[in-house]
Amino acid sequence: MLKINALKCEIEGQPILKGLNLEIKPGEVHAIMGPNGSGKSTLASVLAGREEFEVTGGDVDFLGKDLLDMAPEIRSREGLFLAFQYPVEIPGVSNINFMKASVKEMRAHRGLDPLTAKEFLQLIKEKSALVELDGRLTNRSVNEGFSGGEKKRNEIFQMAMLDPKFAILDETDSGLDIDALKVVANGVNAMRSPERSFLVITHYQRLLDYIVPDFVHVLYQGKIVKTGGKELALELEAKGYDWIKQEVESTGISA
Amino acid sequence: MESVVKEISKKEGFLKSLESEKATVASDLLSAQGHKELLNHNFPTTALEDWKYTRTSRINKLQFNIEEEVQPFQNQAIPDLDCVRLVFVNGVYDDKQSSKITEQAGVVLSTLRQAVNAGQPAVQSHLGSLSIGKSDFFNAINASYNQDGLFLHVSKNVKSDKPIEVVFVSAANQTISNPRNLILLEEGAEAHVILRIESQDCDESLVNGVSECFVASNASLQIDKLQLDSERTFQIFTEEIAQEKDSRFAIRTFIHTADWVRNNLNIQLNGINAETSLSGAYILEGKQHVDNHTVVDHKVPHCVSRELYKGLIDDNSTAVFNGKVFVREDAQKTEAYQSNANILLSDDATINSKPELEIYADDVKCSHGSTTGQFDGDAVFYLKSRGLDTRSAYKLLTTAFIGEVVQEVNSIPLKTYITRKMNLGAVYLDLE
Repeated sequence: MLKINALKCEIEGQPILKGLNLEIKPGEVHAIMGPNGSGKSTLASVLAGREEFEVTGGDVDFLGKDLLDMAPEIRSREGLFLAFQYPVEIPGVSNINFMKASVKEMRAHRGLDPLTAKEFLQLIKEKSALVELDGRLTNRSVNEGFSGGEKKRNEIFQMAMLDPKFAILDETDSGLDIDALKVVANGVNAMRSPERSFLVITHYQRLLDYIVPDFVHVLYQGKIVKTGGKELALELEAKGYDWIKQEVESTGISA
Repeated sequence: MESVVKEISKKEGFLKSLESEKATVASDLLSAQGHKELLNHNFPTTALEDWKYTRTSRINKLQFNIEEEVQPFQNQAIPDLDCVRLVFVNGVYDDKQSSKITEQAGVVLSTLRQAVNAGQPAVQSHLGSLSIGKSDFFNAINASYNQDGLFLHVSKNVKSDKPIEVVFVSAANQTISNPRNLILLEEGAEAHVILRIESQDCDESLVNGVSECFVASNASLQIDKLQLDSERTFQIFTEEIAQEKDSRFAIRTFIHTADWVRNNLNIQLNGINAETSLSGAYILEGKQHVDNHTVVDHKVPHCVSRELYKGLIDDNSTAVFNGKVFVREDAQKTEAYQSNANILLSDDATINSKPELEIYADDVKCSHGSTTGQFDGDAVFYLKSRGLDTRSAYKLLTTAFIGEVVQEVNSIPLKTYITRKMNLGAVYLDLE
């Protein structure tokens, strides 16, 4: 599905990712944890195609194609989805029209006919129910005046609408109370399938109680320094990151 | 001294080219008043505060003709719009392209010339009364050479049953037309007027229009002013509005593919509890220049004025917004809101936005905001990350930005027309 090979990137001359390797196979859920400033959100941004980050080395293969060579919209049409850490408010563009434009692009890219108005409304209804998104929110301007929880649910709603092959959740759990977290996690779990993979970036082990990962990676100083199963997340929760930092420094893994 | 001599010669040069034209006018009286008024004005230049950001030298260099006969040409109607149409070509009424006017009790609808010839009392009592004495150069030129236009008089408590579309088309090179509209709504009357000012197959023509509108107590007037096909022309168009108590007035101006436009809106709020709404949207490219000047004069208490102008400015184009609001000493409890928002799409695009509030009353709510920026990069990336390319993302954001003004139009065929002409996404229309 996704193969990241020795990825290096920098912003304003400051190196952030320093040779990151990661392979995600179809159907797998990978979680990335790590202390602040380790490069977690940068990884999400680079994969989605944000231009502020300059890739200085390595490559990323996405379903047999060179991901880094694609414009952000092409990555999206090819099946990559990023649930934003900070979803953007777009006054004047209604959620429903945004999704209409977006779904149309996706279907055209896949050689499918546009949905009829009726089919589209049916899809909206079905997918908003999945994340318990209030029908009124679909008619409002994108994210404008939404609460933090509503914004995050809106991200998962969009993910469900666009039916990606690979989704990155960038701290989707931050700032959510437990009930909202459950709703978001249920939405994600409902979409888990042998053909779809997820990369879940989080600060908190709590999310992984609800979205159970196949692998947990620790990102530190721009590299993955440790990989384990879901029990690694519990260990991090209990012991913090200092032991990892010490381990890295003593073995000299860091660049 | 030298500059004064220059200005006089500019004025004389301009007038000379007109005086050689033996054109008839709709009202000789207004014409005489206009000529008298012209003695007080010079040809405006950027030395005048009111013309600081709008150069007139291109107009001054030209020699204009005044047309007396209709040129044969075909104007396209707005699809699906059920309205009464009056078409003026180079300022001359074209009855072939205009609607056959069906009589409605309580409504006098004709051309200004017909109204003058018929001795309509409202012409005598009102024509020129909002402009003479306080006009500027071009306003006085319009009075001097007043050609023709809409005459509408709606009696007490009558609603003019269809929108009235008045089309002014320039269809010959280097002509000047001086359209003149007179609209009177008696107490409790209602009307919706669409002014379409356009050009067709012509070069370097000047349209210099003036509308005078009297909105009596509890009456309601709406105007949609469309300047959507106006390449290679100069347009100066002024609306003078007098509102009495409890009246409502709204004007929405849409400008796209217009080379050079100067609009003046002068609103007098003479009676308490009157409401006025001025909105406009402009999308400029190339070397286009668009100047919207508004004056709202709150003379009495409890009136509300709202202004919303939004524009997208690309390439080397320039927009000017000048919004003056007076709140007189007696005008307590005034609410006056003004907003001008601009998005610059190129490094060479320019906006001169100037709110001017003069407030002499102390118990009022007034606000003004002027913003200039680019499209939000985060929003563009967000849209791209959902599969939209740059063009679609910009179109969606443009539609959202300009759509706020288009939404105010109260007719779906008109909204559709504006959307198409301004090349906006139709997305927000299908929610209706």
